[in-house]
Amino acid sequence: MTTSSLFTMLMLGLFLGGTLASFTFMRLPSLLRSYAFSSVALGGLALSLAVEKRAIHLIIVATVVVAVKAFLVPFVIKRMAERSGASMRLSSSLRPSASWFVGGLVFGFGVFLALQSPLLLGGETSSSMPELLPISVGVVFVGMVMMILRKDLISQMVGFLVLENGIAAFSLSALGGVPVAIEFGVYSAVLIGAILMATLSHRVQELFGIHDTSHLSELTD
Amino acid sequence: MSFFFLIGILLLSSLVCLLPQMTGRSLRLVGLSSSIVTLVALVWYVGPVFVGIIPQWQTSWWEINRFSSLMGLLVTWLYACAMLVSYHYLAVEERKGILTLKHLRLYMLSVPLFVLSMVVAIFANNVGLLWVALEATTLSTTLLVSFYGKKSSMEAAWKYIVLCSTGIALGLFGILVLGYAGSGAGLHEAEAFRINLLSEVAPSMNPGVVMWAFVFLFIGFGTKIGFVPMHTWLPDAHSKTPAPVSAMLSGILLNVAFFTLLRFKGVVDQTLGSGDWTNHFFLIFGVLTVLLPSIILLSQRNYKRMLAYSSVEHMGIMAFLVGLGPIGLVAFTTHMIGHTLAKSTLFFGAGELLQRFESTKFRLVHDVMRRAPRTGFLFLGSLLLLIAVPPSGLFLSEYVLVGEGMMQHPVLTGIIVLGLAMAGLGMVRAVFGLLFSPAIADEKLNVPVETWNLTHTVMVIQLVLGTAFGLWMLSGQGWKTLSEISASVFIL
Repeated sequence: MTTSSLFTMLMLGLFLGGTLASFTFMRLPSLLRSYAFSSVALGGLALSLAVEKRAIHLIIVATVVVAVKAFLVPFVIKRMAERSGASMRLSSSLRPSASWFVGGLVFGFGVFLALQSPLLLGGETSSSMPELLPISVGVVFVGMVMMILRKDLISQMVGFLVLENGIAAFSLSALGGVPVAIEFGVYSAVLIGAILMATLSHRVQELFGIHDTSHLSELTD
Repeated sequence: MSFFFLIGILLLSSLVCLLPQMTGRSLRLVGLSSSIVTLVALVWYVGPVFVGIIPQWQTSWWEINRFSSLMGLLVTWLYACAMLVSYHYLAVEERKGILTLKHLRLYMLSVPLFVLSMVVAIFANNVGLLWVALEATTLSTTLLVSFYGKKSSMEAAWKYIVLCSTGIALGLFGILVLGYAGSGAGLHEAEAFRINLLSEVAPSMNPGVVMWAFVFLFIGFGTKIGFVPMHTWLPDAHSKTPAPVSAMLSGILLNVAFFTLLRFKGVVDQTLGSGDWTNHFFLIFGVLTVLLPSIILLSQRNYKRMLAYSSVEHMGIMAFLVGLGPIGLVAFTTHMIGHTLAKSTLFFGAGELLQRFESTKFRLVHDVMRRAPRTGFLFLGSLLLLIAVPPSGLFLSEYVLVGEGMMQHPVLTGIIVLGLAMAGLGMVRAVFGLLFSPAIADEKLNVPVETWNLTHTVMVIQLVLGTAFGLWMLSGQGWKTLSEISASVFIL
């Protein structure tokens, strides 16, 4: 095994570990740290691909991924939460121990689905990093389920960001990244989206005195 | 005139609102004048393509064809109408102390960005750019949903940004899967993001991968369109924004998202060799999207929510029409135009009712025909257009739905017709109560005498335009023209 592939395997492991930890952790600082951790690993995967394909634009992508997702977005979320006096304790429909199990199960289901899908079926693939492809689909599923199971606004926001990390990983794996202009647009959208969500959760905390989504139930028919 | 001039106008009018010396009146004037300049610029720019004097063209980033020109014209027309209404609407709210200068600044900053996002989404040939633009429509309007700062507005805004962003993220996943199929068919990295090139290589793409892509595209963009069961954000968001913005959200944004989905459908259909597989999605979701809001419309208590649910129902009708094949696609175009004109007029009227009676609840607004006859009459006229009473253009599209639907899918069409009847009945019953029932003690009774204002003028123009469009369609000439326009993007 070469140094490059060892680095890729390490980043894959960190990406997956960070994602599952995000699904499980119930305190805001730990949650944001694990999300930032998985985002750094995503940047590492982009870097690994840049070296392998000798693609300079992927180095820019890796830098932007780390800057936006590992630093800017967690910083904005944490700052908004502190300013609104939100509790650092987050709420979920699951206990932490059950979360590990459910997270693993959901991830496994996503990987299984990807392996059975035409994306990889029969081993015919034009993927730049085939081992990342099923993992990315699994991460997308983990993000979606996290948004459903978590009951507070901040966790739901991080769930969305995890889902988006899965999609970014898929773009690296399937297409070797997307053109820089589009990549820039996507990360700008993610950053603005995160700022807007953090602003809204701050206002909800001010109005309702709590971050729990179960209080957002006035609008019904 | 360059396309970038148009983008420049919208960006500039948005940025100008940040100047500290802007007053409420000057903000409204900037918004109004920029909308009119945008409309004129777009007519100047895409008008020749729209009428067929200049052939359609494309670059790696943009594609201007007759259909996208029609969409662009609808967007900028509605933008101009909404800004005319906003000029009056915001002045009233400012005078009452509901809005401050900060609110007006946010409004006039967000709306041009929203329009810019829609224009870019319509004319984009690059799917990445298209995705960013569609996401920008959500981001630029989120703070308009939470505009009034009430608890219910916050709830609506949260649902809006989370559900729409998640939906569009899944759409991005679908785009990437489609790009993956394109790269498998020989396209290079950047080429796999161009719709025209994806169409060219579509027959040699892996059908299985393309079908996977379409599932994500359908769920993702279907969330933005408001297909049931991904619609839950729509009635909340569309009823919480200021009325002119609601008119734009319901009247045109849903169409822009629908158009986006149809562009991908075209690529998928070319890979699969026919539209049968994708049509099934549209038929089934069409039925669901008509049926559920129809049931809710039977007992709706809030007139802005009623209009929002009606938008969901109309998206269902349009989905069903798409599922019917080539004739349905022309009827889809007809329905899209008719719905844009009628629904936006109703939302303008709803804003007028809200400002006068200070409630959106049916139980607190009565006797409108006597107490606000201008608004009442125009609201009734627009409602008749919306429920497809001839000479509404929607009459023709729904006539095609029943006629063609009964031949192809009699059971599904029967369910749709039942839904249409329930929706029409529910809306007419509720609106007739609002217009003609005597006022009760609980509601605001000392309503000032109604005078003619800018909103009424816009409603009359839209109503005349909607009726003229319907007559043109019913004359047969309109159908021929819309067939030609639809053929510029759809395979008929």
